Amino acid sequence: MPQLSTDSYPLTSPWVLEEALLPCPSQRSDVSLQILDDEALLFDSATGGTFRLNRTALIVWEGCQPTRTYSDLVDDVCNEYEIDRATASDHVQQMVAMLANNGLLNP
Amino acid sequence: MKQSASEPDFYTHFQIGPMRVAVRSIMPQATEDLSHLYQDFRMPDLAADEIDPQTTIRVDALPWKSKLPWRKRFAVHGDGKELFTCLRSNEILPYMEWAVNWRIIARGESFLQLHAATLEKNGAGLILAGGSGSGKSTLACGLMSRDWRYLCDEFALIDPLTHQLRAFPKALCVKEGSFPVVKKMGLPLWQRQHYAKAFKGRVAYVRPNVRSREVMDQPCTIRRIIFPRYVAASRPLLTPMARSEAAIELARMSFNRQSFGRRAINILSEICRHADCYRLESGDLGASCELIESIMPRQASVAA
Repeated sequence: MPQLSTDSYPLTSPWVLEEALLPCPSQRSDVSLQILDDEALLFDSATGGTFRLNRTALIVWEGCQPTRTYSDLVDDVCNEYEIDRATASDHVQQMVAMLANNGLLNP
Repeated sequence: MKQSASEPDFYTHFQIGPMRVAVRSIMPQATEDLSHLYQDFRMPDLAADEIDPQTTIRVDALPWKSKLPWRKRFAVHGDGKELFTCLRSNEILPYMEWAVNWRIIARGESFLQLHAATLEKNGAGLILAGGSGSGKSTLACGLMSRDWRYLCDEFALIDPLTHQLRAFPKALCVKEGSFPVVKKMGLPLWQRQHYAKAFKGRVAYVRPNVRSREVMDQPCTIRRIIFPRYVAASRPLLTPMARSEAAIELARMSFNRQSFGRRAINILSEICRHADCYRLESGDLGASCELIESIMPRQASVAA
């Protein structure tokens, strides 16, 4: 399961999203990334919030680029882990929702 | 600040790591005790007008002017601002020490500061990060008794350019529950009287060892980061920790990360990249110290 830990916000329930309807989310440019081993930290310079990403969450974060599609994110997770596409899509939805709820993605 | 006729004319003056501290007290014993604890750090006494406020933290313990005689009798000021008031004379020294700590947090802006004890062995720096009650001061006492170089029991002062630790070898403040184990380690507790420190209850002090004084200007590279938690009567247990988890915990324990902004996370990430990180459930002090020593590098590079 993707995990995003935060020291400044409670985590909220993920949205239920339809993969086909989603535009590709993109990272906010003022959020910085520090990779540590196979995990990472995000720092939101607007709020001072710091977030910890596990490996799956990091894959999703790195995929959140304007040039890519939501399906690409699911492909990224499928390529990394031996899981079916539906499960990967669930993980991506949860992670994107958590990133969005914490204001780390462009609206 | 109104001067009282009984206030001493001169400040007792210390150089502790990168900080200069000037103290004076209406109760001479508090100043004498501080002089004993920091006898290796003494500088020539200063008159009030000789203190450079840019370089020196000034702490005064003065009578507290109250119309109600049963109320607090003493006030402790840091750099001219009243920080604490207390009723009993045995609270003055702990509050003076606390005032110094507060002023370091406020003025040590050039360092990224963490709530942690710091020590060094064979050139390898150790951070014991944790809040009050985590046992970091007691562990620092135990390691100091095993010939570690003691840097501080309250702050990790991190140079933001080199990411190295700087020493602020203040006297170690030990709570009552740790008195027997500290004595058992052969370290003398300074308890001319029983000091009392707000919610911490009775406390005593341990002088920094001579080695801490001799090389207090020498920075050291951080090689191990440990988050201790004291569990009474337990066997000590070290558990490796993900570096990302350690970095975010350190960020939580920083006193001044806001003033560093994004840089704070970059610095802490870089430190964690080059250090092994653990959680420690500490119990028996001797066994906990042995466990810590078992994970330290045998010989570390001093260079950053």
